[in-house]
Amino acid sequence: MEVCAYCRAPVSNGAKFCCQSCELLSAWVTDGVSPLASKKLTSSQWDKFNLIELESQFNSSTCPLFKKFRFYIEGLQCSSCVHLLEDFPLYFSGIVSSKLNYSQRTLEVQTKPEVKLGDLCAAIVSLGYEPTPLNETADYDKAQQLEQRNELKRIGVAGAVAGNAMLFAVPIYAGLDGSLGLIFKWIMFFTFLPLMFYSAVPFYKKAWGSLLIRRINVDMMITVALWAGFIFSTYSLVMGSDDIYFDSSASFIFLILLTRYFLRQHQDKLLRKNIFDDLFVNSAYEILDQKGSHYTNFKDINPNQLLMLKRNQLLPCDSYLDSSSATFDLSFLTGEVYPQIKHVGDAVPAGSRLLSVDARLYITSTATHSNLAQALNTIDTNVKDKNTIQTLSDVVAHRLTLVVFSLAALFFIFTYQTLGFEAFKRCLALITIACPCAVAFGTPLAFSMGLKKAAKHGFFVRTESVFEKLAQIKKVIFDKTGTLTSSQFKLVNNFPENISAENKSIILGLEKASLHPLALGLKESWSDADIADIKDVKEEVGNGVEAYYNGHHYQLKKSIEDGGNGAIQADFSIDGKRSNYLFFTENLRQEATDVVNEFYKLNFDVKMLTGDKRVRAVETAKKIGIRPNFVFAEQSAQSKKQIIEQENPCLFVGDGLNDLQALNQAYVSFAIRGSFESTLQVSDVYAPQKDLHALLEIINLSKNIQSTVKINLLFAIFYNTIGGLLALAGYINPLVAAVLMPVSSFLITSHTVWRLK
Amino acid sequence: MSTILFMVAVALILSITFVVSYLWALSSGQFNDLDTPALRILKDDILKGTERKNHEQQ
Repeated sequence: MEVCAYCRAPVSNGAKFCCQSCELLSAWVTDGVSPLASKKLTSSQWDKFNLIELESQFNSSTCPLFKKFRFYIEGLQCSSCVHLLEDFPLYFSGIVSSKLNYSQRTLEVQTKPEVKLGDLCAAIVSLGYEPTPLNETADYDKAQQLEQRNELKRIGVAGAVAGNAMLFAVPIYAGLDGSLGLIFKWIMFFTFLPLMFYSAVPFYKKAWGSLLIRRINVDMMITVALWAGFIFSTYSLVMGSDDIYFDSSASFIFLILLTRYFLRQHQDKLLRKNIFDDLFVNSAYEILDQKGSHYTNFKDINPNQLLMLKRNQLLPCDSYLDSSSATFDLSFLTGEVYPQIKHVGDAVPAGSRLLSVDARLYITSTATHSNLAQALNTIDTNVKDKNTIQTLSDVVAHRLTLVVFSLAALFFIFTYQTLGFEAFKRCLALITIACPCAVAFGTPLAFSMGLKKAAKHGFFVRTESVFEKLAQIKKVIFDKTGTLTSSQFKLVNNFPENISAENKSIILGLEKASLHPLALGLKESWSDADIADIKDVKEEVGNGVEAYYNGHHYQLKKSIEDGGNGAIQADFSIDGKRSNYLFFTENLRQEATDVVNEFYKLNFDVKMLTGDKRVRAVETAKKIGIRPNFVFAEQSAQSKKQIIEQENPCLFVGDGLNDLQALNQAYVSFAIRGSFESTLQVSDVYAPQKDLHALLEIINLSKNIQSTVKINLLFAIFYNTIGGLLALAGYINPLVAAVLMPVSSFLITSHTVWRLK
Repeated sequence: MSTILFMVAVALILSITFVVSYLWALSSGQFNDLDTPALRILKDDILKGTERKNHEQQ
């Protein structure tokens, strides 16, 4: 097998090194060539980050003597990457320290004030990595780290308590009695206290929280069982009897804390990021002033200023168009993919993307007061509501608690006369035993394994409740643009059939700089054709392009005629005479029809939602196999949200760019693309690297998880019924409990692992 | 009897020591990153190459 000449990792295709960092390090170690020697250290892509206004958004240092940046690094391969990136101070002057976290893929760099963010990024790029500067709030990170540490501390203490309790319980089960037995029992009591008053505190908090909203959940059951066990055991200890349950209670709490910790580890950590900042933080905006112009970040743009918006830039504030006509892509706001033409004096809302040449805009609001910011704020508050659904385990816990308590009460009332104090003891034993561990840790275990499996297959799943919800629904609603179709157009036909190579090159030359969806479609269809070097192309906004070239006048215009069958027609004319017709339709995703059919097989209702005109929407729906009366056309972002509200419970499939509100509203939402952080925040499942087949995959996974959870629950109910009956009949003593509880835990764990491995 | 009690006391002190040292290690951030330190240790001495080059030049 061939290995890398530097790090000895296996390599393929006869390459000498496994990655660029190995090559650079090898040169450095053997020949003393600095990794950044002969590299280009500036790049136009990163230049804007040198701007102090933009840079300050990423600098988390509070001290003026140094700057501190954090990056997400893509392209980490082997241990050499750690060495190369951490030795940054040795070959890039001005860097004080550089620390990589390989598992989180983040790099933290401290620099002297003269180092600029853009140059730093360019240097990282020339080393062969893809950096993304992170602008997280330091407070949030710290709080999260602290929370995780506290959780681990509680688990550690619970583990130690459980281990020690077992150690001292075994001699007692083996028959140890007398004063030594009593000492052992007291030791168990004292070692149990840290668990009772430290490790188990989260259960009390959650139980109290659910009591306040008058709902019974699993934590309340655990709290009651734990306290019943504690009081009962302490009472027995004082009274000199043998009914001591410290060991089984401790191991039980330890197991639950552990499985819950794993569950949280698999949930995503990027949930509470600010969507709005995420959209604009990477752009520098040009403000026109008396002296000419200056650049600033989106937060420092104020009303009454003039903003020079660049082609393809996203507008952060509400505004009026001050220059002559311009084309905007409003898909972020409306979902409508066709470019919108705005004339001088027209309102242009925040979230519009400029498609034509640079435009001057008169700002009317700050970024934080724009309509877009308000709309995104409602998303933020809704996110919190969404997490509080009552899960199956909560329902089961609720019913079980009621049954167990009524049973205990009835038993006590009817047997008190005959059994006396023994009746009370048996009731407490019942409550201790009947706490179903399947509910308490079988379910989180199944969910955490499900999340792990989903992550392995490329899904980002926001919360585990998705699995439960997905298994319930029978209706799927697709967004059209960007989901069933790609947002580009495809050239389907042209007339006459053969276009000369010369005409092709002229058409491409005309469309060279255009970002119009039709232009992008053309460039893709004719990717191998030459492009004529046409200068001074005049773009008539929303209508087409024209130019003089080699003494002729060429025009490519949107036709006034309809292309038929929902197609869009464009006319190419030479010197005012039409010579070619081009027909475009939307590009359907290859797998769309297939996936819709699969949904029909699963007995799902399939519907479609779009901002497009009805005729075009129905045309697309027919091709995919969606019934025309299940097509909601001509919808705005707001009305999409309302439709989803009416159609709930449903699965909504959209893209994170323009369906944020609808995604947020849906019972279960699935996003197939979009900016990572904001999409993840509003959608339940996000699968950026996958096609629509991913939907079926995740539904199957959910069904599997749900059936595992249900079998666990059934088993637990059965097992605990028997245990409860034995307790009431007086057959349960601490030894039996110490055997019964671990056996059921073991059975449930192995069943879950076997089903979901 | 007294031997057993002595052993029990030792066991308890040991377990408390372990718990306390675990809590200390956790608070001082030793479990923050479990992957990078293992890779960091494999590092070559970069300065060797640079020195060798300087030496050759002399």
